[in-house]
Amino acid sequence: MTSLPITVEAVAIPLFLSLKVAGIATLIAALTGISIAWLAAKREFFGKEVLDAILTLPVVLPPTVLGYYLLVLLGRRGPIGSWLETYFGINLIFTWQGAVIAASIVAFPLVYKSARTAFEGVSKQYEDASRVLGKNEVQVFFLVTFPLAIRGILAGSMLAFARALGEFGATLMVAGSLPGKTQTLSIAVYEAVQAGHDQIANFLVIITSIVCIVVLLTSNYFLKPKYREA
Amino acid sequence: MGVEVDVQQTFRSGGHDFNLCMQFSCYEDITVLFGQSGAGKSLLLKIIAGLQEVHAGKIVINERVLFDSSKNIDVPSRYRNVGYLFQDYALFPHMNVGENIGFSKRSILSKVLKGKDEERVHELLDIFQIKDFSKKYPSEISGGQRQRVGLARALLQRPDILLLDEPFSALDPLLRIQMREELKKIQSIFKIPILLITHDPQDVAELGERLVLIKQGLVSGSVDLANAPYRDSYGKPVRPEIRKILLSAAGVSSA
Repeated sequence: MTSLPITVEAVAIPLFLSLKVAGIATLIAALTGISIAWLAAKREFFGKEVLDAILTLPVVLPPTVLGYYLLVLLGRRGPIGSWLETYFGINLIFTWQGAVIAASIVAFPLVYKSARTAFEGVSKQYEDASRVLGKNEVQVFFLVTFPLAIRGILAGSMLAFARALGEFGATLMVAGSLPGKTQTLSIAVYEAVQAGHDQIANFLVIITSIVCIVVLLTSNYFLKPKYREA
Repeated sequence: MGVEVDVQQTFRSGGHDFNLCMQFSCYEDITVLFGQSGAGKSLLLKIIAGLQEVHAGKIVINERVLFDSSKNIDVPSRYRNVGYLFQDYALFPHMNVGENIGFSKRSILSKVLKGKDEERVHELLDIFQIKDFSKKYPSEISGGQRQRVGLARALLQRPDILLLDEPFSALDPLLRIQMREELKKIQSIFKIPILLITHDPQDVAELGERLVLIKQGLVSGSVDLANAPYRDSYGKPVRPEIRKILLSAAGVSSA
């Protein structure tokens, strides 16, 4: 048992890295999740429910399995990895960008599922009413469908952010645990415990819990209705 | 000037085919579409508004062709310029009364309307006497007030026709009487054809100048209610006569 002093580097660096990774990952998950959710809720196409099942997989698959998939796909010899390497000279494995991809995929279903439910809850009648009132499909989306679904979408995005912040398994496999580079909060906790740095571990755990509670409180706030349906 | 509708469509639901084949015309007056539930009246309004696909036929309003299957014309809803009042009004719950009424003129980025459009909203708030609660949300006003908001919203863009899907079904009887009078007033102000769906014989007697009977997707009859024997010499509806056609149309022999 060593009691390494709690330094700014030991706490602030993984905290800010985690917030950066989770923030960008939530943005990616929200943009893709909202678009695909809209398609699934409002349009008919072949294989929709199969696609839904595949997109929901990251919630049920063990993160290590996901991480392995990503490693195979994004690694130097993987189909996506080798393509990125040849044409752009980009390598994602053991980088914070790799951690972003892992976190986005893990967080994606949380946005997608809640956005789809939220979009399906918007009555077609409101959309038809705005079409008759002269609005095109883009206007219908931004003036009616999206504002009426926003609470569900925001709540889903907050959960996605919390999930991305706590991401461990897939991130560890894809990005590793390079201090100051890819070592996020949750991985830093693991490393601290392994090394017997209990004080740092305690502190990191408390910080993580506070951040998650704030996120969940915000999410609850968004879930409260601002108006009633007539 | 007038409205010509001639449409055919087969709908398939649950293994059953439903054939819709309707032809009628109407003018700048109130035409009542009367028929049992499931006869296809709401479908017809949706077809006219371009919200429901249709195979074959032609829809012309004021000499403007909105749909013509033989010429591959199918004007999208947003360019049809029809006023549509949904059965439960479909007021946008996240917008207040004023924003609902001005909806057809607003842009994505700003809910503030410019000069003429804003004047027009005020004009309609005046006509429908709803100025006092223009800042309230649809959930905060009564059923009759909601209906007025729905009508004002539909009329803002000066539509060529007004389609009303069972406008009075959600209102209590006294309010119905009042709203019928208001609808007549609107008709005299805006002078556009009004197509109105109803199950209520009272609506037919009080409002109908033309009656289109609909049965199982077909037009089973069309009656001019503006003259004798359905109107007396003072222009008041002769209820027993009107009752007779409605009952015989429904297949009930009148006593």
